[in-house]
Amino acid sequence: MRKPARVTLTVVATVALASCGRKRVDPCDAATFNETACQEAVRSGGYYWDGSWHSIGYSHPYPYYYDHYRTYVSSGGTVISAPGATYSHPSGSVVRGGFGATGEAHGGGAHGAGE
Amino acid sequence: MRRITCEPRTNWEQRVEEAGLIWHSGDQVYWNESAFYEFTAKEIDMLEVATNELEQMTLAAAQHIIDNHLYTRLAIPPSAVPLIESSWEAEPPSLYGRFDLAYDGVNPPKLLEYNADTPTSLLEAAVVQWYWLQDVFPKKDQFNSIHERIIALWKELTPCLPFSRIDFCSMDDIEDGMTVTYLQDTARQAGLTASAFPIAEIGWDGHNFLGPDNRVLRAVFKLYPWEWMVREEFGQHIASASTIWIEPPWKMLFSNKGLLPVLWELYPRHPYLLEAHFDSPGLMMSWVKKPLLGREGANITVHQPEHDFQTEGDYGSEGFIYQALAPVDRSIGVYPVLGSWVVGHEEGNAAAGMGVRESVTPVTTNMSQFVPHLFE
Repeated sequence: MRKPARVTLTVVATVALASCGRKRVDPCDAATFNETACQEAVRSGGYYWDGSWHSIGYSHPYPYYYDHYRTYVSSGGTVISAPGATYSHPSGSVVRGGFGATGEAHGGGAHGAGE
Repeated sequence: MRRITCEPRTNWEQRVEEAGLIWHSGDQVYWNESAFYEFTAKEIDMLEVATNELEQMTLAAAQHIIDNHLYTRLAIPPSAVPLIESSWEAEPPSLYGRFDLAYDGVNPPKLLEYNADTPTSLLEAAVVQWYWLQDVFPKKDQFNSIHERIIALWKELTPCLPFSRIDFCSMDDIEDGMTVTYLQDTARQAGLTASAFPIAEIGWDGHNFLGPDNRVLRAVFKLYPWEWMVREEFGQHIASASTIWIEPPWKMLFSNKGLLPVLWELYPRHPYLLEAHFDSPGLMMSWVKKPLLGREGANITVHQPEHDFQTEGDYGSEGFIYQALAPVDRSIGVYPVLGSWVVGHEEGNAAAGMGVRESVTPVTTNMSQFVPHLFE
């Protein structure tokens, strides 16, 4: 019964196939261009994909990627964009209340932080 | 400069509320139009010149602090230094500030302090006292182009604001809320998209600061002191996030009373300055002890021979500075402080207007009253 290694390999292959079904696509790639998501990605230095952050060091401003996409389309390239929601950040992981504590401690809401 | 008593408008509460000042009275009135201050045109010219010169002097002082790494003297934490220095170099948008000046109408105005990070009493100075002037003395003038200047500056800053949008946040407080609501209105008048929300509702998703609607915050005007922000939980994320903050982090140098002795070291015996020192009053006979990071007149000691006056509060743990007591005209029975506003940083053209607050004690606090002004 020397089969465990093979079983493990089968499991890995299955997971990989599942991932391939939702392969991450860069919103600034000409073939997967998503205008809104690309603008956000360039400004943020990355994008969310299915709730996970992917840091991308875009080396050009947004118009560069847009022009590249337009050239690609005009030369007959096919664009298959991911739905915009795929690039939205996971709202469940947002932490709030990280600003404001000092003001509350000083004034307890009785007066503000301006002067 | 003269203080003149007068009859308030019969419907003054309604008039100031119509102008946006929904909080005008507490235990006593805050907006006080039973008097006004009258200036001559020559006095206004002098105040404008002084404000523009102080603006340049404070910018030079900031450069001096940065060049000489005086951060420890100002109790600025090391983690804030890269924020200050990078924002100073990058020159991100900066909106406004208010020099608080002691002025007796005889001697040159003296700088009491500079509030350039979170100044308030803006709506009163920019709008409410202007409507008062139109109602009561329509043929007189007022040192006041604050409103127009702020709108013009927003337009100028628009290319720096992603998606032509600016979000405003403050503590959930009526006074601060009035200020950010007014600024939000000026931004909208300049063509920007704007919203406002309490600063506690800002979120962090691991990469970006988010608004209450989970939208990434690209540019935020925050009416909340930098010295608090950098010490709070989200302070660690400021450097890595892409958010543009107005006022910028370098304004931390101006919300710190340590600016005053630095100015005195750079410009000793300057006519617009009061002698000021770190650590001790030196040879001064009458002085005011101020916390480095104090606010709203809290924890101030006014020392005169055989007489001390102190205010309460919970500031001062970071240390104090000592500043000479400003000369005051005691004949009028109150202590006026002129709040001289700057909008932008254009050399020689930053001064934008003025508001007067007066107190029955030598220390201006959040209980002081706003009194309108005019000039001939």
